[in-house]
Amino acid sequence: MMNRRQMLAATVAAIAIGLAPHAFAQDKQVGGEINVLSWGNYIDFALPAFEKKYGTKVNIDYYADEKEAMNKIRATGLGTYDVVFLGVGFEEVAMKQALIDPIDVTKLVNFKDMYAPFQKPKADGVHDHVTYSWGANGLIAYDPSKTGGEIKSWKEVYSGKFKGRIGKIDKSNEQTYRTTFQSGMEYGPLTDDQWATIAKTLESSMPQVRTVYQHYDEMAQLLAAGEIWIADTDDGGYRQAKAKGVNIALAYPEEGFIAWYDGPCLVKDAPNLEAAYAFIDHMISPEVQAQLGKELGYAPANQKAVALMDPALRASLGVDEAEANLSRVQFQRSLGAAYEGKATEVWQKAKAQVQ
Amino acid sequence: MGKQGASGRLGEKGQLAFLLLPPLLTLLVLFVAPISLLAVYGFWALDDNYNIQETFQLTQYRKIANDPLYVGTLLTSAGMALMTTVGALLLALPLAYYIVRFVSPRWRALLVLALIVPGWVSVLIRTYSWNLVIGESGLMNWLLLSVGIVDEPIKLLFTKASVIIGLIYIYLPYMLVPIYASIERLDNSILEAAENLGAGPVRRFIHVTLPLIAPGIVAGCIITFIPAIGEYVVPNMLGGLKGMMYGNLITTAFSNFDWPFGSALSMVLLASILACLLVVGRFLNVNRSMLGQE
Repeated sequence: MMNRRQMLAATVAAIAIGLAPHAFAQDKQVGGEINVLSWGNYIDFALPAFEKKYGTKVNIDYYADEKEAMNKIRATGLGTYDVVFLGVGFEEVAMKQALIDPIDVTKLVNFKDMYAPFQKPKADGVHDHVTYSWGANGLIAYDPSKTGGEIKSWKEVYSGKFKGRIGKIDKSNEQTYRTTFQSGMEYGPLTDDQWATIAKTLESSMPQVRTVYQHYDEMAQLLAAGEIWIADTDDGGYRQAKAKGVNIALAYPEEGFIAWYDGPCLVKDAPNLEAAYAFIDHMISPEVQAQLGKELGYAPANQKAVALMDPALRASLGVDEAEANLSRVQFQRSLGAAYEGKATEVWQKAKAQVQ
Repeated sequence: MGKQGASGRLGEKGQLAFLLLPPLLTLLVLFVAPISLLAVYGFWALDDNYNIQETFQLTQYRKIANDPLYVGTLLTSAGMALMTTVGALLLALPLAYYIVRFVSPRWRALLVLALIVPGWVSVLIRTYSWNLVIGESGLMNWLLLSVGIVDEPIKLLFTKASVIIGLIYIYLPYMLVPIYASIERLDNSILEAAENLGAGPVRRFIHVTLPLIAPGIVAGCIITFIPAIGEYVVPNMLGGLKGMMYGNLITTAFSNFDWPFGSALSMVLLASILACLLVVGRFLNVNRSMLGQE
């Protein structure tokens, strides 16, 4: 049984929770701490401002890919992490595995300023993530001084002219859609015959490949060291390598490419819920989104950020054409465990043939 | 008297059980329980929504048996682990022999320590340093080009050879320590007796030293081969495309949330290693040698 004092405290707490949706706009000090799982060098620049604004300490833990992030949540158990950054369909997988909770976007002041496609919920009406950044993937980075000219297509890359100078990203799902386009097919679920075509295309490409790498930082090092001249990349990976002074150019392959998105999700049973919402709102604020473009070369998902960017940055990120690009580009999505399993098998066999 | 003797034996047994209980419990909790869990997972499957179907089936083992990728990669990994073991042995044996026989006792410990200390640094950092040494624009090529031994850089990085070099470097201390210990324990009077009976240095080494230090060599080979066959960090960093080992297949399966398949792959590796150990044990009669009963 509650005594009067406990009843009063509970009433005050209930009122406070009820007012929470409006709290973040008033820069309320939330205090405490928050546990975030993120890619390395991805959100770090935005943390000091958040900690100062909300008085909340951010404990950040890094991962190398989405699968590792989800395995970390599972390994540590729910109730540890508050926010995890997921995208390209992994947020759907995390929701199916009951690792994340739906996000109540009415609690996010900045959500209304997102580009229209990023405000749409999933088919079931649920917002399983909020988009923080987006861009193109399935692209080609190359050193023009080594290739001796411009490269426009996969056909040129695997013409035989650059044998032993090509690097590939060691991720089966990325290799699947890259090879899907290279083989002249559309992105999406694949039939057995289409898988066989992908395997055949990889079979002819792999003997020309020098090495594989796990992430785009490694790609930049390999290009800078001259180990490879041509590499798989996404737009952010290319811009970060370029910012480090690596002499590279970017090609959007003629055969096709894909769009990616990524953003914060609310981990199921998040222990610091109020801070988690404040954090997510902060990450999609115009200021952080503008800084994201400047610091990491990723396009913002909040259209109000565009006004805070200088013209040169806007031009390099192509943000003035963002709405047009968003309406025509196809986003990567989850195609199920069987698709992932087949993609892994095909990619591992392709690697095994050149052992 | 007989009764007293019997109770004495029972007391000894009780003492033995008391002494064995903590290590047995530790083994049970830290080894048997997780391995049993893996064994169970290996008989389950993953559905299209990434949920584990807890129904007994042989799907994973059939997949491994029917696809040459898995057995082929296991054999490749065994071959690479064997090359690593032989390479480490060829380096460690003369090195340990030299340290024990030709270095003064006050420098011996320091030399062994110098060989072991790098092991305290993270494997990632030590492996990455090889990347900088054998890369196309690395230290090795810079030296070879500067001296004029080669006209263009040698492409050693991202080859099978670079993986073997990296693995030998990482596992050399594992081989060195047991061999060093067995050479140090050698009774000099036996070697002197062999010398007095007319055996030359080579004959003494082959017929006297080698059989006496065999337990150390076998122990070194076993503790080098076992972790080397399941390696995935060194092959990834130094082998690139050419560095696919069985450990990489296991890592990929687990990172794809496919715990049943990852577990089945792990169990196959474990069974293969145990089979190898049984064969080695049978041929070399390791247990008796290591207990000094020969």
